[in-house]
This record gives sequence, C-alpha cells and structure tokens, in this order.
Amino acid sequence: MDDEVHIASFIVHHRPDALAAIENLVAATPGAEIAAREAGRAILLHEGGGTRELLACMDAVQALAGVVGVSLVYHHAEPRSALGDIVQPSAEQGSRL
Amino acid sequence: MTTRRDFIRASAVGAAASAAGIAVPASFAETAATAAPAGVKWSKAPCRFCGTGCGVQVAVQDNRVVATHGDADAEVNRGLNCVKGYFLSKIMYGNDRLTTPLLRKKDGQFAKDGDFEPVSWDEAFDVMAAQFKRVLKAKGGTGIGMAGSGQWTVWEGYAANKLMKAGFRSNHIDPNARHCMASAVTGFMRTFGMDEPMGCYDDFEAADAFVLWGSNMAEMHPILWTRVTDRRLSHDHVKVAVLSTFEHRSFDLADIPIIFKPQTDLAILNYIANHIIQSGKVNEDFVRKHVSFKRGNDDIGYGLRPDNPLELKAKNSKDPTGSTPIDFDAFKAFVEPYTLDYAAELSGVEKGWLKHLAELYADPKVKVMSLWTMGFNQHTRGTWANNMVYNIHLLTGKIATPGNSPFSLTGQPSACGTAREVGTFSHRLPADLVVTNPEHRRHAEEIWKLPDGLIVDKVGYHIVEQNRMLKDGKLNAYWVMANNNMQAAANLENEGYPGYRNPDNFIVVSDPYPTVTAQAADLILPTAMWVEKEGAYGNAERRTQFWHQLVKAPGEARSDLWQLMEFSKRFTTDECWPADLLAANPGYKGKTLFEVLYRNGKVDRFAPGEVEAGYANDEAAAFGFYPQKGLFEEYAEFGRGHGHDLAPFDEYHKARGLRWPVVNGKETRWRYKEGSDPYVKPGADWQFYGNKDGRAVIWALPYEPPAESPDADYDLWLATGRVLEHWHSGSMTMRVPELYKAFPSAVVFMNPDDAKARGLKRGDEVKVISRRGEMRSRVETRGRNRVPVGLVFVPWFDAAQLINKTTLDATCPISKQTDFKKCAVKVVMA
Repeated sequence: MDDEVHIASFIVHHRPDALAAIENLVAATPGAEIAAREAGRAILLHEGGGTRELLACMDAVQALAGVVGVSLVYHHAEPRSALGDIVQPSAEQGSRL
Repeated sequence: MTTRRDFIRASAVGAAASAAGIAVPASFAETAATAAPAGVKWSKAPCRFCGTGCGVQVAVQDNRVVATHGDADAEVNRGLNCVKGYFLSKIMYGNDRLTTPLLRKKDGQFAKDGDFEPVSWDEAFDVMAAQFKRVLKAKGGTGIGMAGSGQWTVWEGYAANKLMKAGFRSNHIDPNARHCMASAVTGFMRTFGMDEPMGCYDDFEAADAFVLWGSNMAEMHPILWTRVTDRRLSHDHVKVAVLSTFEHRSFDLADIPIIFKPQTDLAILNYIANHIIQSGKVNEDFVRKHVSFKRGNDDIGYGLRPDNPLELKAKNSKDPTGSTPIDFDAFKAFVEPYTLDYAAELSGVEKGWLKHLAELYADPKVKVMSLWTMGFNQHTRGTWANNMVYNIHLLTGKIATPGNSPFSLTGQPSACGTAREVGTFSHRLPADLVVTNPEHRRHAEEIWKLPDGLIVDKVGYHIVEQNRMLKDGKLNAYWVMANNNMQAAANLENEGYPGYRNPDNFIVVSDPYPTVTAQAADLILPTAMWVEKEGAYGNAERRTQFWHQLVKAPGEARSDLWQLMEFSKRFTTDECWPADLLAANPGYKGKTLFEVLYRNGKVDRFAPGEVEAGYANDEAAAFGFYPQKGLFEEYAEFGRGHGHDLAPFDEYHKARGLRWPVVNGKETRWRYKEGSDPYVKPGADWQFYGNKDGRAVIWALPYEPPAESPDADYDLWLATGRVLEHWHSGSMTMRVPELYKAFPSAVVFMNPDDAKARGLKRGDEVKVISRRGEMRSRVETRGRNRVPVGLVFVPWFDAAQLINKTTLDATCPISKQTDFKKCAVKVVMA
C-alpha cells in the first residue's frame, strides 16, 4: 500500500538564547530542518509519516526553555509515489478570492 | 527540473517565511505557490473559533472542504494559524454529525420521557409550534425564552432578536456571550457610554509594554500572541507583564511575572492608580478636559438567587449599578489606602514586581497595551475590574492612540459582531440601544416597521437566570441555538439539568452535534455550520468579516437562519400580540410573524440573483429573496450616522473585513481621538462621545472578597478555563482526531506539594468535590500549567468530565456574568 508523506512548516518564536537548543533538537529529529531564521524567529520544515509525528515535533519544540510560541503555517499530505513527479507550478494554482 | 517534493517543500517554507516576515531563503525561492491539487476552489472565510478573527483560505472540492490555511492577505493573522485553526477543515466532518431532527417519542407521540427518534422537519416544527402556542396561550411571550450565541452569524442573531423581542414579545433572549464578555460590555458602558474597544490590533506593533490581566494569550489567542512575541523579541525596550492566579505558557515571555491570590487583582488595580497619583504622574491636562469621576455603590452582592444569605446580607444587592459624582480629590482619597504594602499583603505578590508594574503605567514615555479576557470578565466584580483598568489608562491619558490601548479580547468569533452589536442580550437592541428606553424601543419599531408599543419595556431573563426560571417553571418553551449551555453554565446539577427536564417545559436545541445540551433537550434540530451557509462575524477589534456558502450541509441539516425564519411562518400576530395593539394597528392582523418580520419590504428587497456568481445560498433559494443581505442592510440602519456605521453589504465580500465605524468608505482604527475618528469634533483632541458630556468616567471602587473562598472543609481554590487544543466546550475540536489525541481528557492541574499532602501522585484518579457536586478526573502535577499551593485548575472542554457540576453560579451583579475562576473544592482519591 502506498503510504502518505506529510510536509509541514511552522514558525518558532523564541528568545535568542534558545536557538542552540532548537538546533540540537532539530538535529536529533528525523525529517526536521531549520529552513530559515532571523532574530527570535525560525522556520522549521518537517517531513514525516503523519500528523502524529508532526504534532510530536511541534510539542517537543514548544517544550524547550525559551521557546515562546510554535505556529503551524503549512501542511500538505500526499502519496509517497507522487512525490517524484515533475510539476508545472503554474498549473497547480486554484482560483482564489 | 522540480519534483513535487521540492515544490511542496518550497511552498511550505515560502508560506511560513511570508507569514513571519522573513525573506524566503534562496534555496527554496524557486517556487512558492500553493500545492493544492487542480480543481480546487479557494475562497476566504474567517476562522470558526475565537474572537481573534483570523482569515483563512478554504479549499473546496466536490462539495467538501478539503483544506484550509492561513490567509496571507488577512491583516489579523498574515498567513498564520493556530493548531485549532489549522484543523478547521475537519470540524464539519465528525462521525456523529446530526443530519435529521430528533424528537423524544413514545408510541409514536412526543413524550418528555421518550427516546429520541428521527422525524421530518414538518413534524419537528408542528410539535414545537404546538408547544410554543400552549405556552403563549397560558402566559404570553414571557413564558418563551431563547439562549443564543456569539457564534451566530450577524444576520442569525438579528433575525432571532426580531423573532423574540418583536414576534413573541419576549426579552428572554440572551447569548452564551453572557458567560464570556458581559463584564467587558458593562465596563465599557459605565466608563465610555459605548461598547467595544477604542483601539485595534495595530496597537500590538506600537506598544512599549504589554500587561496581561489574567489572560493566557499564548494558549487562548495564540495568533495575537505571536504579534506580542514579535514586538517583544525584536525590540529590547519592550516589556511584558503577565498576571494570573497560576503560571501558564504566557509566562515564558514575561519580564514581570505576577502570581496573585484570587480576587486581589482589584487591590492591585487600585494600588496602581494610587501610585500614579502619589508619584505625580497624573496627566492633569487630559484628566481636566476628558474625564469625570464617580463613586460606585459597594457591597453589591454576588448575583446569586435573591434569597441566598449572601444577597440578603449585601447592602446594595438591589442597586448594584448606583453611583454618586465625586471629584479628583475624592478619588485620590479613596485609593490612598491601597499602598504598596497593603496591595502586596492582600495579593501575596512581591513588592518589587508590583512596583515595576505600576511604573509601566505611570511612566509617561511608555505606551501600554492592557489585555484581558476571562480573568477579568468571569469575576464577581468583573464590571469593576474593567472600570478599574480604564481608570489607570485615563489617569495617564494612555488611551485611543497607537500603542496606548486598554484592550478587551473576546472568546467567540462574533461576540462583538453578533451578541453585542446586534444586541441579542436580554436588555439590548441593536447598536447599543436598550429595551428600557422608550425612545430606543420606538426607534427599533420604526426601523422594523412594527407598531408603536410592541417591544416589551422590561429587561428579560439573562442566561444564568434562564436556567433558574426553567427550574422554577416560569420559563416553559425554550430554544437553544449555537451554544452548549448545559456543559458551559455553572452549578449544572442544581440549576441547569432540573430546568431542562422539568415536565412543564419544552426544550429545543439546534446544534450540528449531539452535545450534552442537545441530549438534555426534547427536540434536537440539526444545524448547518460555518461555510455551509453565508455568514458574517465581528471580531474583537470591531472588524466585520463575511464569507460565502461554500458547501452544502449534510442531510437535512439547516442553518439557524432558515430555522428561525421558517418557524416564524407557523405563528400569526393574533396568537402573539395583544388584541388592543392589533385593534389599534389593524394592518398587522392575521399576518404571520414571517410576513411582519421578514417579508416587510426591507428584509426581502434583494433578489436571489444578487448572490455573487459561483456561490450557492440555500436560504435565498428557500425563501425567494436574499435574506442575509436584506437583514444586514436593515440592521445597518441602526448604526449608520450613530457611530456604528457599517459599509454596504457587498463591500464585505471583497475586503478582509472592515473595522467600524466605516465612514465614507474608510474604517476607523482608533476611536475617540481627533484625526483618527471622524466622529470627534474638530478641536476636541479626545472626545468620549458615548457619554453626553464627552468625558470618560473614572470609578472609585473598592476591593471586596469573593463569594466563596477555601475553608477547612473545601480547602482549595478551583479555577476553570481552556487549553490551546480545544475550543470552549470541545463540541467541534474533540471531533478532530489530531486535536482529540493531543489533549483527549481534562485533568486536574495541581501543585506537587498539594498532591503529596493528599497522598496523591500524577495520574491518580480523583474526585473534585464542592458544596454543589462532584466529578472524577486525574491528577496532573506537571505540564503546561504550574499552579501554586492551594489552587487547582481544571479545563472545561471535556464532556466526559463536567467540571461545572462543582462550580458556583455566582455572577457579577452588574454584568450577570458567572465567575468561573473562584470557588472552593476539595480533591480526594477516587
């Protein structure tokens, strides 16, 4: 059976001195990486097998001392087999109000 | 070459970067469009949950909401979502969604002691109308009541208000918002003569200090909290003070952390006022020109039943709102006893922290935003607490300018837009009008094109009183819409359940799910929710937001609007209005309520064809006119030209919301200040025009003890509240698997020393017992909330653990809002 891959991003608000702890946690979490950062904020990208894994990662980050907030921004799931397809981004957009 | 994986990862990072205001890293910058599959239609809507009013984009495919994400174009949240908002797409698809009316029956007939059986809408409304007519005949409109909601859309609340106050001539309509922000309303009315905040969310980016009075924004208003967080972490001079009766997640950001003993916030507020005066920091020019002073009645009781000993003992329980005018010197003398020593002794807070806090307010260079929700509002002196925080902003003139902002947050998506602005409270009419004022009633009757003298001049039963009156058999036909009051109201075994099961009463509950309240009813009506209907909500910063119907409701579920209007067809004016009134106004005789309320030449003046192309509207199809637009435009007549101006209907389908008053197409961000509020007279600088003299009122009000405190028998404070993952009673979020798993059951947050002293350890099953009832739960000594010795915190979202069996139905005597933060309990091994 084709399993699903979940790709998500979230913003972490943190005190500057918490960055090292966040980096350590991310290094120890499979599928997680820090995609961008700026004073007091970091964007984490997470790729995993389901929402449970994703929420566990968010909870672990939230629990670090100096982390003030974790906000999920983007979450997408689809079959692993489709992920290697070549895409034409322009054809992907739905109409938006 | 871009694979789907690359594309989705880039989109994820792009969305987060734009939401956070961080530049998209080059490695991800190639693509940043949405990765939704083709064939999906995206439309805007406000979130279904709290009063923040985040904008979301909703993806619909084959009549099903398949995805939602934060709307990057929405000013409120700029693309962010909290975890509840993120799983919004799943709230409509719980396994036990109600799809047909259910009536208690025995042998094919309605029976109060029967079991629920599916029935048609015709049968449901036939039985319901017969029951309502039985009560109308025996008692008139005074036997009929309705519990409404800050989750009603604007037009649903408006249609319900008309049906009750004009159709049935009953003012016994009150929203669950009474439990949520009634004290904020009475606070605004007493100080400013006009409801709702003067400032707006733009204050978050302008303030130098934030003070959270009993609010846990990190969990309850997480998106607004990200704005506080951003401001604090990117500006070193910014300070955050967090006050609460226990330590919670918002303390992670606190520069000034304050844990105070329950109820002593009143003493801290008066100490700050005293400190401002004693240190010479009063803004004398502002006070002289824009402020007046009053002393409020004290010893006002606790809003319990009138025969309760506490009410009999209280000097002013019959006149809680009374006051006498005083001057600045009298106010100065009044707060003088609230010294640093006295405040520290009462509150248990270290003097150093109290002084830091007072200095934030006193220092003329620091722009302060005060924020509060249930800590102030659910308080037996909730109105006072609201008045007293305005006192300190008014003494210093820190009000109605960017960053100087006393700001009352709300818990429901349209507590402001529907419950307050539409006036669905038992004493109100739209746009701050009240039923006790003859001119206001006449004005409403004129706009509604109804006869003079139709609206009843007495304040109806508020929602706490409704439960008491159901129990006492005074209220006999009762319709509950868009709320879960059996789970939400205090003292449920003594004051909630008995009234619903009283054999004289017929109880109807409209809801999408079989809630605790629905299961206590006689008739359950299945309700369309959120984007299954066209809607409008008003958030905490006066922002009115619209959405279109995006999908069809399942089965026979129908919107509250359809239910209200369709039901009104079953009554004639002769059945509801007195004969002399009809004799004097024969044109109304023999008409149905539907005809006089909704077919009045105003509500029905827009054709179904005016619904925006590409969107369905089930109500327009059912009634042959566009009721949402007609109701909105009739309602808007109340406020236009009176400081509550709303834009034309169609504008709201284009904009990401507009903050009223909207004058000449422009929204208003700061009210009462010249230059930003078109209603302020040129040259006035500030003008608090809700009061006739243009002045805001500083109130002299004392510290008074709570209704119930721990003693030898019940030795712990109980505070109830919410958690991040669940919204209010959990009727929606507990049906989202991810949110359910994240926080499946309520627990008793307890200090480890208190647990040890009772021979308890983490995870033990316990009973929480009060003088009113008990419930079972489990002990939690770790986790997100760290409570002090002597206090337990229990969230109320869990229908399997009804903590309101133990709570006390004491209210603020002015606002009638229940104090869910203070009563006495004991905790023992189960």
